[in-house]
Amino acid sequence: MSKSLGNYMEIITARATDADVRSRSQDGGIVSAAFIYGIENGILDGSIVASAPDKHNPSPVVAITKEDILKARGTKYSISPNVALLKSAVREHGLEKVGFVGTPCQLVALRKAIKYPLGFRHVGDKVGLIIGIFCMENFNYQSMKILIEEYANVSMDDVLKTDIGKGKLWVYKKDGSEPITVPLKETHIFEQKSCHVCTDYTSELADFSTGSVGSPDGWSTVIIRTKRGKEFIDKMIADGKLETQPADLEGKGGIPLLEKLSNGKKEKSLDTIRIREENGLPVPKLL
Amino acid sequence: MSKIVEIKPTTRHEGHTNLNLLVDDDGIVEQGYYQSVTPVRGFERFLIGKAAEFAPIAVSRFCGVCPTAHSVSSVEAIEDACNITPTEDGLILRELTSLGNRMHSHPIHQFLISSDYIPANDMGEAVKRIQEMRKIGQFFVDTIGGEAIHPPNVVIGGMAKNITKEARNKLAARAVEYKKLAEVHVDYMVGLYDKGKFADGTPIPENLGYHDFPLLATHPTYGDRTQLNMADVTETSPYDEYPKEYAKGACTLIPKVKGSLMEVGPRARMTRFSGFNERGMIANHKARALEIIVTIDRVLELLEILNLNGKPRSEEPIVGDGEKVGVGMNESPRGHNTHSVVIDPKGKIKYYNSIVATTWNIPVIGHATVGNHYKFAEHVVRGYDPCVSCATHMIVKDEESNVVSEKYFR
Amino acid sequence: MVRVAHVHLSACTGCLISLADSYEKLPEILEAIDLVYSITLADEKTVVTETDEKISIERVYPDNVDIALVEGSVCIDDEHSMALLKEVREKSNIVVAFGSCAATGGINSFSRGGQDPQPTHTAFLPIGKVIKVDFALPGCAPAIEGILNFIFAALEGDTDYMLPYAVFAEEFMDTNGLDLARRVISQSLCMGCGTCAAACQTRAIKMYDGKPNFDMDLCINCGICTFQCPRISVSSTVFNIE
Ligand SMILES: Cc1cc2nc3c(=O)[nH]c(=O)nc-3n(C[C@H](O)[C@H](O)[C@H](O)COP(=O)(O)OP(=O)(O)OC[C@H]3O[C@@H](n4cnc5c(N)ncnc54)[C@H](O)[C@@H]3O)c2cc1C
Ligand code: SF4
Ligand code: SF4
Ligand code: SF4
Ligand code: SF4
Repeated sequence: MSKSLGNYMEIITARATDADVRSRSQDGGIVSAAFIYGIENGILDGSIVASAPDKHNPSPVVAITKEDILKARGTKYSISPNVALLKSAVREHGLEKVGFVGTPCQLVALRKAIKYPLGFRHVGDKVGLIIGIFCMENFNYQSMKILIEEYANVSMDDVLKTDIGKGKLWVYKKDGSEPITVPLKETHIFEQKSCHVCTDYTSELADFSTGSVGSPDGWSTVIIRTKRGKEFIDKMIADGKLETQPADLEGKGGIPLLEKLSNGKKEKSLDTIRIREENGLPVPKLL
Repeated sequence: MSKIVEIKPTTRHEGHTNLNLLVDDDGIVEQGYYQSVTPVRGFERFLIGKAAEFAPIAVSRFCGVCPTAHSVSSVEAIEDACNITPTEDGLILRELTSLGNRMHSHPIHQFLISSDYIPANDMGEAVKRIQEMRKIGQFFVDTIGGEAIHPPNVVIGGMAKNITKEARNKLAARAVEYKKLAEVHVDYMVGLYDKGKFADGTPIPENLGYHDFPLLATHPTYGDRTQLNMADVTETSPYDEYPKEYAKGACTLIPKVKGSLMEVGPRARMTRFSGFNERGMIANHKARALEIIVTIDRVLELLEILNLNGKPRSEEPIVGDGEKVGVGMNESPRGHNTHSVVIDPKGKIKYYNSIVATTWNIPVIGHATVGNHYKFAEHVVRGYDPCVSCATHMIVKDEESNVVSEKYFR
Repeated sequence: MVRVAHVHLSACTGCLISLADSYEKLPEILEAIDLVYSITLADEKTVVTETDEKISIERVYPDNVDIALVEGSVCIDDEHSMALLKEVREKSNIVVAFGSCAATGGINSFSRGGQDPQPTHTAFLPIGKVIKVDFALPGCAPAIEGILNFIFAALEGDTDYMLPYAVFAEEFMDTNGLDLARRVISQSLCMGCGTCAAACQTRAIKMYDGKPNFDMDLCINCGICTFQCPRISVSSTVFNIE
């Protein structure tokens, strides 16, 4: 339990043991490995993930095979409205145990839909696992395109992967050459403005959440929050699908950094909310 | 000397209706007037000028018990008006959606009449079966139609989406389950109806619900616009059928084919297409029960022939000529249902009219109460499973002739 | 036992069907409450008056109802509907606008009269415009899971859980797709979760580049998008997860 990271049961550092999964995943491949594990063991019959076949402009898809999941690996720093597909997943796709991955804001929406399901007939009880990713901010696709094409001078066709970390936006190219970076102070103006009222960095409503911050490169920090999340991760570890190391609870680049970033986001957003209120602008109401 | 018996409102069916009966000294009904007093929301009026695509969404909301019947009649009518041919698989999906609705609707009616027929001892089991059947029926409409109550996937040109293999497999497995449940349940219900008495032991008069009006049905499981010539259909004012004091509260018009009232519904369909040959109130219940089997057999057949890679929807443009009256017919759970529409060259609705199942049956129900004690009258009503919100949606056929309206100001 | 009534005004009964879609749980629910009025589901308290000319069999709304679920808009041009609604308010402790027709007007907000045989039935309003409504459950139809959560919270007196329904009854009688867009997108609050699109029961909302587009030709003013949008409001109860 911690104020800055939300309620949790346990924090670990982990990565997928399957090198194939890890190869094109964003960090430790936790999300993809978990969904593949869920499908292969009958815990899930499909998952909603963000796919970007057309050059990084993501949209949600229902993935029902390992291949589908692998195709959607990696972070897209643009909005993928994953909740939009939830109903389809249980309607025409006929799923009964749906895995869901989303940003913190999407999990608030999802948990609200489950607790107050007036518009979600026969849907809530079909959500089998909720994985959250850490999220500092997001960009709409057009903004990302400007950043990549005009600031990093890379053609969208050549982009292999993008990442945000260590104060920079990193653009990796398909030709394997050195990544191009754009300092975050240049990217700020392109952030989605509605992200500035968002106080959740670590997906506090997930079964478990994951992100890179707090763990070494190629590894992920995993915050286990619910009984369902814990059972799931424990099984994956027992079956050898995840390798783990204790989370770095003391070091500067470890969990203290995660807490610092999380608190920073909360403070900044609460400020924005206050200023909006002062200006007579509406803010999301907490009832 | 005759007495008047007024029952307001009648219960255990959808909507608000009253029964006004003229009875003799022994309480035997001499004349029966059954009428809807559900306010007229005026769909046919507010649809004018709206986009054609809005019609199926709006008219679905005539009724939450059989919403599919209205969306389907609506898109059929618009397709006819715009000369659009829905895709083959779109039609299969659409019929499955309709039948899924029937798979829930017929059983829920048996739930509403359960206390009339089902002995207390059997009640738990029977209601459990009914609910299990309904759950499967609604699952069909949720999965294919998008939402069981007002399915948005019923669209002009076919259906908005096809389903995946996983969904189809689940539907097929549940359909098999349904068939098993239905066989037990239909046998059980028919056995009760054949007993000749209600659950409380009261004998049911054999001629209860008899009338001499013809039956109207166009198709066993879907609907067929070639089977009824709309030129034969007229709609008259309640003032022509009811005494003035009742007519002024009536919320439906009176449709006729070649000048005659018609009974629509499961008995009409089963008689025309499945060799059923009984009349009266119990026959209505029996036909409804037996039709559950016809329905699930057709569902199993359709699931076999559905092509999951088939195109669900035709992309032909939704434009009309502003003149052709498109007609869509669907056999809803409660019977034959017609929507008529004119679409203009910009795809907007120019004219809309629906004559729904219960509208046909309302005047017949009144007549069918005649000849027996008034205490049986509500049983006759329930024999038709009336769904009254649907029924309050009619306008005079000829927009220009103010025949009906004039009578109001007389 | 808690005395519950279901009242049917200008509605399609879809909301009640939704309640029946509790399937195997329905008998349990009917046992947990005392259903004292519902002309669709039960024979009502019946008052028989007999004179020489007439036998009148009337089903009346009972006294001392704890929770009245009112389905449908009220036709203010129909005196029976108005009288019934007022009677319901007087005789019930809690009045719930059950479904969008009652909560926001829903599809009936398009009504404009002129249809035979009752051309004067022109105005159909959310019931909250005529009487005080305590809670509103939008949705066309509202999903059964939501209805059950509400009913059980009401039985347990869980007012924290019920708060969003009270707020909706108070503040959102006029909402629809366009209103949500104005309150959220036009205020830079929409972060593109897609919840509104999934919730919309007419599929009037499609997501493009991470933002919703509203096809107002398909919007029936049900308000469920507004109810579900997390950038309108979130209840504190949402944050309690296990
Ligand atoms: C906008 C955004 C901002 C982020 N900011 C941070 C941060 O500040 N700090 C940090 O530590 N981590 C951040 N992350 C999370 C991080 O980038 C990784 O997504 C996370 O560590 C999971 O990596 P993985 O290797 O376990 O997952 P993978 O196996 O690579 O799978 C990632 C999964 O996330 C889904 N996904 C990708 N993009 C999106 C999206 N836009 N919306 C919803 N789902 C998506 C994919 O479909 C895939 O299923 C951010 C992610 C996003 C989308
Ligand atoms: S910063 Fe918040 S609002 Fe923005 S995408 Fe991330 S979780 Fe959503
Ligand atoms: S809200 Fe929808 S389902 Fe409920 S009565 Fe109104 S139209 Fe029917
Ligand atoms: S956009 Fe959809 S959910 Fe929103 S009010 Fe309109 S119909 Fe209802
Ligand atoms: S639910 Fe609200 S925040 Fe989410 S996409 Fe719709 S309008 Fe935006």
